[in-house]
Amino acid sequence: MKLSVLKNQSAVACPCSVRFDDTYDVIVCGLGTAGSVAAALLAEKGYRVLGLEAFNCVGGTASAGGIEIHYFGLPGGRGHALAAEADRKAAELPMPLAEGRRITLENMLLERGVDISYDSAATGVYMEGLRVCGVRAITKDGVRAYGCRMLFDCTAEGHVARMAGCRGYFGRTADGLAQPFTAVVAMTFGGNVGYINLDAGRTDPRDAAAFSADIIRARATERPEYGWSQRVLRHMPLPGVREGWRLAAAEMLSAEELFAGKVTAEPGYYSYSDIDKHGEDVAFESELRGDWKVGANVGAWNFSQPVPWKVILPEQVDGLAVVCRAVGVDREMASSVRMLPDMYKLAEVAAEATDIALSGEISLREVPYARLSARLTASGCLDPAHNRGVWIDGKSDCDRKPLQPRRVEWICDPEALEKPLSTLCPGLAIWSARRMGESCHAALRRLLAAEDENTRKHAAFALASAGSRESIPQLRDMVVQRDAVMLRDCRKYNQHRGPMAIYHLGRLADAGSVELLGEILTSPAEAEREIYAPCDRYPAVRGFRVLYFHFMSQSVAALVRIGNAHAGLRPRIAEIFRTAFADGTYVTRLTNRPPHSAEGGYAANLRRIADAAAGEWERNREFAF
Amino acid sequence: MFDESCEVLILGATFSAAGLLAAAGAQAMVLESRPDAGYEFFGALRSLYGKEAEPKSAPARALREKFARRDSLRACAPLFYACLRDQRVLLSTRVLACERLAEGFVVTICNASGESRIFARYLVDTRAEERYIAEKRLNLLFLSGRMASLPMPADADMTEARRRLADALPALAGEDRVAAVADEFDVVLTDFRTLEYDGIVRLPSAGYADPISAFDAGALLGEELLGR
Repeated sequence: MKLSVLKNQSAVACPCSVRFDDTYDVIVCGLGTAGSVAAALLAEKGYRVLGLEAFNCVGGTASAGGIEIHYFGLPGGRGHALAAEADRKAAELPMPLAEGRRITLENMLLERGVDISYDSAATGVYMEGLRVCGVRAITKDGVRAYGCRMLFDCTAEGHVARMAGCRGYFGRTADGLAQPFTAVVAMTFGGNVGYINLDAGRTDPRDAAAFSADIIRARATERPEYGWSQRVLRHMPLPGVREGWRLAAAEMLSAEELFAGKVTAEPGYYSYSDIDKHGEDVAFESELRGDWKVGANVGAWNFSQPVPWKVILPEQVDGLAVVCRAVGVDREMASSVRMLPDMYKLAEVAAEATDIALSGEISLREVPYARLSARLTASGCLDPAHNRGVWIDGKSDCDRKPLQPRRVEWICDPEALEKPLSTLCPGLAIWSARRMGESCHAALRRLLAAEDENTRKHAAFALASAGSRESIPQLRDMVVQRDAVMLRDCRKYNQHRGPMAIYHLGRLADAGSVELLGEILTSPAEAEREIYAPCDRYPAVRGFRVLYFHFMSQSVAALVRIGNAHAGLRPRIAEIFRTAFADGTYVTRLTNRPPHSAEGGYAANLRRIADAAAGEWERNREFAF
Repeated sequence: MFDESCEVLILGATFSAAGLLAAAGAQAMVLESRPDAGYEFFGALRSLYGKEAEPKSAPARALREKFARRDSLRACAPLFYACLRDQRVLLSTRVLACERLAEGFVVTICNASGESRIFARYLVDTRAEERYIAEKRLNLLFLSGRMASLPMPADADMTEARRRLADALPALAGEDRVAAVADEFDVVLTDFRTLEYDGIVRLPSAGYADPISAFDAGALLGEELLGR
């Protein structure tokens, strides 16, 4: 046997002999949203379950984190029913739901016989070869060794899987950063308690020192715009981390494959959400997300996705299931597969698979899918009706008027693109054109000459999305005009035409745009333009010129793409970057928020991205010689 | 042999720890098992915040001046966290082992980065040890602004506290609604003076009547330790 622990963020295993203080069928590390439901489900089935919880209550971000509500996800299944029952009881208590959950979720576990150990955390994993057989934990009674037949990592961050040596991923390709986290504050609003949940900057939960510093800085930040002094109740103890480490799983959920129509043959359930991207610097996200959110302006549209049940299984390690938002999803899907209903369903998938494995004396990866899917279908966790495609969904539209949810049907006839392109909601036509590709070029080419301005400009977006360079002049014109018209396809995250045009010019690697984009970044007069003045659209983000940032960040991203495609332009683009960012004054033109804030971070990151690209080009030049 | 070292290693990210940091700066380091700080006052929903305290140390006097401009202790949280900003503080960090050496301590810790060893000349524990707790209460804040305090047995844990709270809630709330429930006990300690056992200095921050006094005690201890 060996004990595998983390040192300097890497797993290190040493031979050991151990006498377990106790042995359980299943140990659940982390009794948050997924962990509490998983523990309850397993205990219902008669298994002896130990829950190790680092804090002093269950429920995780849904209780001690102050995240009371979720958007989207679909009901169904035993796990969802258990959580709903706990919520129903919590709602009967004269207190906020997040407070009540501490009581009712805990009762749910205790009534089912789960042993709960608070103030406890796994510090190592006992393994026989590649099979987990126990956990070393620090508890309030000291260090303990517990044996188990199955270990659930429900820590949200995959801490236990990392200890066991599982491979994983973190952050986005451009700069390695994850989505911003929140430091939730409970406040009183109009006679009720509300939880303020604003982006607080970026962090890396794998790095204890940096993570601590980021949390402390976020909580030291005043929010006077919320009438802090009169309204604050408290900082919620658990930070709201939206994205962290992700498991390299036996089967991954990938946005690229999903958008290409390749889906798993073994779904555990259907997720349903938008690609819930927090952070204003979408310019540095993947091209798929850029095409969807910026290029077509449909970032807040929802879609269902069959989630492979094996996203919970590490590639090689047995006896371990990752049952939290650290499951095996790519970065795009990590934005979507993290809401409460996803966690309830992942818990049920893991509990049912574990029951089949333990009762049949087989490993998790040997669980027959037919048996698992039969159980999940019977409970309603896996429901083919949840495979509902793409929807425009939500309570209200971008004008805060009631929204009538409707299913999106993509356009297949090029001649039918004109009508939606003539409106301020052209997203359906733009993405449909992307799907059609070359077959719609002729129809869109005609629309470039339309009298109607919307039709003309939106046809330019659609043509670019469909892979044609013919609309480059129209795209450049929109940039020259600093077109600040905001499209209205989505309930939130709507894009402005100017930054959209810059995005498309970058995707087309338009060499002729370099000076135009350089002007946005370097001209002292740029910041004085009226379109960048604060507006009502962003009342919650004081001291940050959002539209100006979108023009700048999209310009940086586009210039990097152009430079990557045209080696001869790299010296000029590098010079633009030096002029724009050398002295750091651009940051003060963008924001007066502190450097550690989300907004300060976005601004500072422009220079890092530009420097990284210019440095890479310089290194390649040296190689060439 | 060690991953890090410091003069003063402080257990608990409390107000006393913040006072110690104010005095010792980079020579001190704080380890906290919870993901938050100042919980013995903020988390316990205690209301006194030290306007009337007469601190002896300069850092505590400065903090009192800032606190005094706020309407409540709750509104002071950013000011407190600002005391910890850019200091050596590790949240969500557990102590696995502690070894006494002639010249100090070697403490093995575990957190998201993994295991590491810290050498410290002094070890200061600012947490409230169960054995010194004479009284324990669970505080509640209602939407009306009213506070309530539910007495607990000295050995009660949070599970027991929640059970008692659920039983008492209808009578406690009446027509009111709870706005926040403490996630840390409000405690009275049998003895909270600065004590030194086995080379470990004990300075339980929760024992002080208000956070400024706790902070002041930490700052004074820091000055004393660094002056030794």
